[in-house]
Amino acid sequence: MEGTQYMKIAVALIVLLPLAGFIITLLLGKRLFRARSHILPVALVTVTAVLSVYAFEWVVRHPDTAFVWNAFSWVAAGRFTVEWGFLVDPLTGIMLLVVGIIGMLVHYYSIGYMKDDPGYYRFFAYLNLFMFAMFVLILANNYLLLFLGWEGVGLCSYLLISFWFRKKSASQAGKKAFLVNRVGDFGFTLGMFLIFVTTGTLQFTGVFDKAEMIGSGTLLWICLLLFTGAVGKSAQFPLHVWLPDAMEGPTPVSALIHAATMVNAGVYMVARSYPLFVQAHTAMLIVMIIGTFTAIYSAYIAITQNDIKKVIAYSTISSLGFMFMALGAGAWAAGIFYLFAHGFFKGLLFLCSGSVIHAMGGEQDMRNMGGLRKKIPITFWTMLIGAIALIGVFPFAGFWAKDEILGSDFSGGYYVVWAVGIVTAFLTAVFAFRLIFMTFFGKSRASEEVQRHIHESAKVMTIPLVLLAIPAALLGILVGWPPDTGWIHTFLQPVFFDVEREKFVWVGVGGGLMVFSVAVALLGVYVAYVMYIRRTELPGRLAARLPVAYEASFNKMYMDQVYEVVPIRSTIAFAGWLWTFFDVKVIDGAVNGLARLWELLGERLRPLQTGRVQNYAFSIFAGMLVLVVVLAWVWGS
Amino acid sequence: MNALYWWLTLAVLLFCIGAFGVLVRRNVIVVVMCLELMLNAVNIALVAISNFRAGALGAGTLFSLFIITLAAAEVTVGLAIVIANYRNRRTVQTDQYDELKG
Amino acid sequence: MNAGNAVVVILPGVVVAVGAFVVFLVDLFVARKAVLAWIAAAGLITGAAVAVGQWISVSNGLHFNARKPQTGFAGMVSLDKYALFCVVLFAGIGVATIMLSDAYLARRKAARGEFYGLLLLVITGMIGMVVSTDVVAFFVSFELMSLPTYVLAGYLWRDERSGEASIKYFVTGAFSSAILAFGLALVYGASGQTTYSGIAAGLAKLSGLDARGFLVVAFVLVVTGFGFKISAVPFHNWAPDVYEGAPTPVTAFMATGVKAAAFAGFARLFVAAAGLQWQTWAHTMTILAVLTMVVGNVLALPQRNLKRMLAYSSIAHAGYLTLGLIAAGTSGKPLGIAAILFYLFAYALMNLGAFGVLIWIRNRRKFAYTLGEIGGLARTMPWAAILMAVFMVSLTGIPPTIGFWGKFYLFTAVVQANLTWLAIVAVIMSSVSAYYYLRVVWYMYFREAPQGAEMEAEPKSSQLGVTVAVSLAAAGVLVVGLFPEPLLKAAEGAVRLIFGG
Repeated sequence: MEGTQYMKIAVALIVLLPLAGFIITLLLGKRLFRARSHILPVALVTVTAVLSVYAFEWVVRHPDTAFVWNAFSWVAAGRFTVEWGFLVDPLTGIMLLVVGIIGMLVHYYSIGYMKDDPGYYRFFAYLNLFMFAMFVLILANNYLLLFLGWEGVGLCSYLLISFWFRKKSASQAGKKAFLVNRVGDFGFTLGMFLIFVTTGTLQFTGVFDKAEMIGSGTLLWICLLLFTGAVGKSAQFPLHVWLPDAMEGPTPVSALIHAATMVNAGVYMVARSYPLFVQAHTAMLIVMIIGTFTAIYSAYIAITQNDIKKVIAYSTISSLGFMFMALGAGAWAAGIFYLFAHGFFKGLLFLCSGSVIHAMGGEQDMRNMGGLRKKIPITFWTMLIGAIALIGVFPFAGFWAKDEILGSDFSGGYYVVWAVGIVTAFLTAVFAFRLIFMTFFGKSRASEEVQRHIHESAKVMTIPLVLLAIPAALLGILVGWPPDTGWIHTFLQPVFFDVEREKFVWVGVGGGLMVFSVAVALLGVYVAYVMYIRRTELPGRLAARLPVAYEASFNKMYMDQVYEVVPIRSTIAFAGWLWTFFDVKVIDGAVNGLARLWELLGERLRPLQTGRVQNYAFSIFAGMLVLVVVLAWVWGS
Repeated sequence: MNALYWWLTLAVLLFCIGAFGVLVRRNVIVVVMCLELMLNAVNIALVAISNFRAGALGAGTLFSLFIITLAAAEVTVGLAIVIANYRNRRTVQTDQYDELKG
Repeated sequence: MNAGNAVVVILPGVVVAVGAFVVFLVDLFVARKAVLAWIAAAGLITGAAVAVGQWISVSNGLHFNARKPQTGFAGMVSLDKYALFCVVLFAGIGVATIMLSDAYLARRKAARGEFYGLLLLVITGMIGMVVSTDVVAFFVSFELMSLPTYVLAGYLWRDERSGEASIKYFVTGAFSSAILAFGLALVYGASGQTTYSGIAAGLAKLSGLDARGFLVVAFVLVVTGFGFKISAVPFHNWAPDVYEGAPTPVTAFMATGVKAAAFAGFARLFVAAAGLQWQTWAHTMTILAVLTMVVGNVLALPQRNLKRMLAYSSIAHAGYLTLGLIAAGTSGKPLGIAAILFYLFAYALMNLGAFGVLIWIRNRRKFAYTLGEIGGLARTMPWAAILMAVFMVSLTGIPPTIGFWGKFYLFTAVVQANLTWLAIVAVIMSSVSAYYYLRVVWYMYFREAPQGAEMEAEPKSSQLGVTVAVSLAAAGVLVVGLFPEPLLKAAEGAVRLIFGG
């Protein structure tokens, strides 16, 4: 086939370059590169971004053939064989584009953001390691390799969340992310195991070919277990609690890992397992319900948060819920479309918030901001574009994807889901513009000292913002027009091959629905405008009038407290215990009964080790005699 | 009963006497002597087998020669270790060496 | 066969032995003792290079018959891939030990020449154990390996703990070698022969109840000698004390090198010499394996001293390794032995690494060995901490590390021998081990550093050897963890000829 040779080289380089960058930077960064540590990683990531675009373009040119390359055998033990195999098809192509381009821009942005940090080299090394793991994850052609990347991105996520490990809250947040993700990963591992037991392979094509032959009960379990993994990684209810805390990490990390790429891995994995899910309607239903609930739940929490990054974090959870809602409702292509657009505008929002925090000298509380519009204009305008894209106003990116999802809910007969989606859209508009208004409009509430130092960020930070703002604004109309039959649908057709036949989605979005949802979004903006610009006393009065509703939202629905008190904490411990039995206990430091029991047993046995050499010799001799007796008895009978 | 069994019985007895000494005597020097006794029991067994067992190759005698050499080396190393330790703690009683335990 | 050919068969061992004597000699004349490390390492590397050359010759049928092992000295030694694989492994362990020792010994102003000389003699003995195909040569090699190890354990004898370690090791070691010798004498008595193949043939002809009784005793005595060296329960008691008391580089070497040689050498003896009776032996050894895994892991749990914890963990690993022997014995297939070779390699990497990190820390500070003392290591010595974490994860057996594949192949061999219950016991026990391994990681990353944990200035003697050795070990753990295939293929190739299949 034409070009496969080049594709092999491209794919190999996409995977290997960031790995090389990681190793070299980690080894030489501290001593040799120091403040120039960024040059190599950034250069390598730029090359991988170009290669990603090339790979994407290859897929566009070969719509009907997926690129499959089993580079070499990885594990072969009896029947169990797994290869280092890569797969590039339209779904991978889109992911490559998101990861490659946003990854590159975040690298550039970090040059400015992390400047003068003592861990400068370490930061870039980790970022490159993350890129490596993420590329492995999306390029894998089997579940095991995908899992390797999955664990790899997880590892980088913990490392980067607790990057400023001297800060107690940061290392705690890293720990929490680790813990919660173990639960999901445990489910994923079980799912993989079940797949292997029933189909005898872990290769995607092999598994999917046999999908129709798997019994429906087994299939349901497989899908639910896989989905558990996705719930952990993509921060869905009830395993979402780690993501807001993950904001303790540096902001470029939040943008790259916790908004644009890693958290999408769950969505990607479910979409990748489409041939399995599409046969398990109950599983799809559960995916949709969890997604829908998470979407509205976290949008509701986002309204009252004051930390600028926390607002965007909850918004991310909500958006991910939206994606799962789409997948569950059968709007597969729309879900991926949303993922595509979301990567850009959410990454943009995070980077903008980083720029704001940078300008404010580290301040993250929006109550101490305000009036920044004039002082940091580039950040303001790009963030505004991001916010409009997020709330889905015509013709920005979010509009096309979001309306396709809502439209398919409606046409699929999921009216409740649709209604919840509309409410979520309204809430999204409120908190997004609450953020914009509180940060950029009104009078500055910052101290004199801080105000004097407010400045626009360096070019190396603002240029990525502008570059991200372009797709955030235009991507939707480019690939999503006309709705339902736009380019992206034709493009993804080979992946979600059954969708047309299934018929239960994709009838079309009525113009009325579209207008309605845009109107709702604009209404949200207006509400935010009234509450935070015109009558700023209103939110306080509202909070006083509806104390329960306010407190619930403000305290994040008390989920953290619930996890503290209620057995869920121990449930997590239990699930984790099953995963590597005791490691959760170790990490958590909590006392786990069984481990304690073993340890007590060990403590009891210790006196047997008397320290006297003749007792040892006696043990040898006695052991020898006992063996003689046992063996004579076994052999005699 | 042929002669081999008597010789082997002797060897086993000697071996057990040596082992008993290693297990109960507290003086390290005596313990080292008992270890030598055990190795000599092995030598008796080897020589007896190579002489009396039908069809046995002569390798047993060879083996016993090696063991005699090894026993000498072992005593050398053992006594050196005992002396070094004696310089530290001024005792050759085995039960005094119990700092490491648990 | 002429003597020249016979020397070719044991050439790697000869090279290492010559290296030992060169070190002893040069030590007398040279004032700059740093050169001794290079000579010793050169000896080992030359030995390994010879072995690699022979491996290539054997693989391609150059000079040697590819299908029949080359024997020498009237069948007492044999040149084959199995021995060569082990030679390379032992030489690698030796070089790593030298790298770990140099700064450690220099800091304590201990004589380095004798240390390296003795070390090379031990390795000569280890090589002898795997090339031997005759119990006489085997026992002599066994003693050549053991005697210098007693000395090395007490090398820093002015430290009371080191002295105590050596006296304990000597008494129990000499006791168990006497038992082994008696066992080998009885095996000779039962079969009338001393070569492995001769023993197998002799035993096959045996019949009658008293002959069986004779064999039972002989077998148990040999197993006792074996169990002592690999520290299998109930012959294990010496191990924690000696490992804790001995100088840390020696501990690292004993836990990896001596144990590897014991496994590789005895595996050959058992499988090649026990012949048809092997299946019964395997069942008996199951008792040892289960006891060893349980006691090793359970007693490792309450340990606060890392050297002692690693000692108990090494007992536990001996239990896993024994499973390979059992699998091979029960199924009659060589996969179990191949898994042992793979695991020995893996275990050498991760254990040398773990002990190496301890040495590294100890060279920079006054203390290093307890859990509390390594608290907060991630802050004070981040690179050491991350490497230690890699080793701990690998020892636990979590992918993608070499430790995972080691266990994977061992347990696969056990399952294929239809001993699923044994594999389940092993998996449960290895999950118990996660507790004490990952606790180390937890202390390093989530605990505060103890008082006085500030590092001393970079010591005069260079730490480079330690750093490089540990980093290479970690790289090995991860690289083989990602690509286990070539090493497994090599291990399978090594066992194919002499164990059939």
